[in-house]
Amino acid sequence: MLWELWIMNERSDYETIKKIFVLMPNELKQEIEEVSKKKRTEVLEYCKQALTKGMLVKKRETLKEKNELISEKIAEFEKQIKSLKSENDMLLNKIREVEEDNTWLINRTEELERINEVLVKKLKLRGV
Amino acid sequence: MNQSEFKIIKKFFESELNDVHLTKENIKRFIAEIIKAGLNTEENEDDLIKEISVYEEKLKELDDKLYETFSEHLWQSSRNASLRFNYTEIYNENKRLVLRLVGLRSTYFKLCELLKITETNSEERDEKMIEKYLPMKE
Repeated sequence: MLWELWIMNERSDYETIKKIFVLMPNELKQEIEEVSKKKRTEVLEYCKQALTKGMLVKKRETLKEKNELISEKIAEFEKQIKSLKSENDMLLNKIREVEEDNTWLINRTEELERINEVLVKKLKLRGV
Repeated sequence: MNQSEFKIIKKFFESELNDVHLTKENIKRFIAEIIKAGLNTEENEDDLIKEISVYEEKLKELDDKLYETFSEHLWQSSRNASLRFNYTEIYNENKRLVLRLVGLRSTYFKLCELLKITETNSEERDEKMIEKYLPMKE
């Protein structure tokens, strides 16, 4: 991240600050030059401080936004988990019900098969 | 600004702006934004750093929590898919069994008629199952 790069490595690099200073909008340059009484080193020092503070402010903003985003994502997941859990409980109950029907149906069809076999035998005995 | 200077600045900013087409204008706008943020704040560096470490700590906790909830979500989703599949499988099996039941009942009634006996093996639950798994007696 730019913030880490700046804070950890580039903080005292005046060459970079000089280059950044060149890129600054004119009104901002004037503002900095006026405050630092137009002395080159003071201008750069002021610029460096503003950049460092700006970087820290931006880093804080980025972290805050990231935390908010992750919190929202967690809340969204938790909501979905709650709904999935209740749907899964409902499905488990339905499965228990169809399993019970399944056992009954297997027994019942076997029973009817046996009865029909007996009846067919009776019919044969009567010569129908 | 010459080409090599631009390269230094570009390198400096590309970690932050890697998704943006890095033009001089983009860099200028970005620098102005940072400098303004720095000039407009009355907070001191130490307070900002302290606040940042609190946010960083919170971020770590949230990352762990996100991982946990994501895993739980994944587990519940796959369980949901598996339960739905099981339910459909058993439901379809029951449908086939009910069709078999309908056929066996029909044979049973015909045999009772031929043998001139009163049918005694008709269960109320048969009708319920037919209604449940073959609605409209499809």
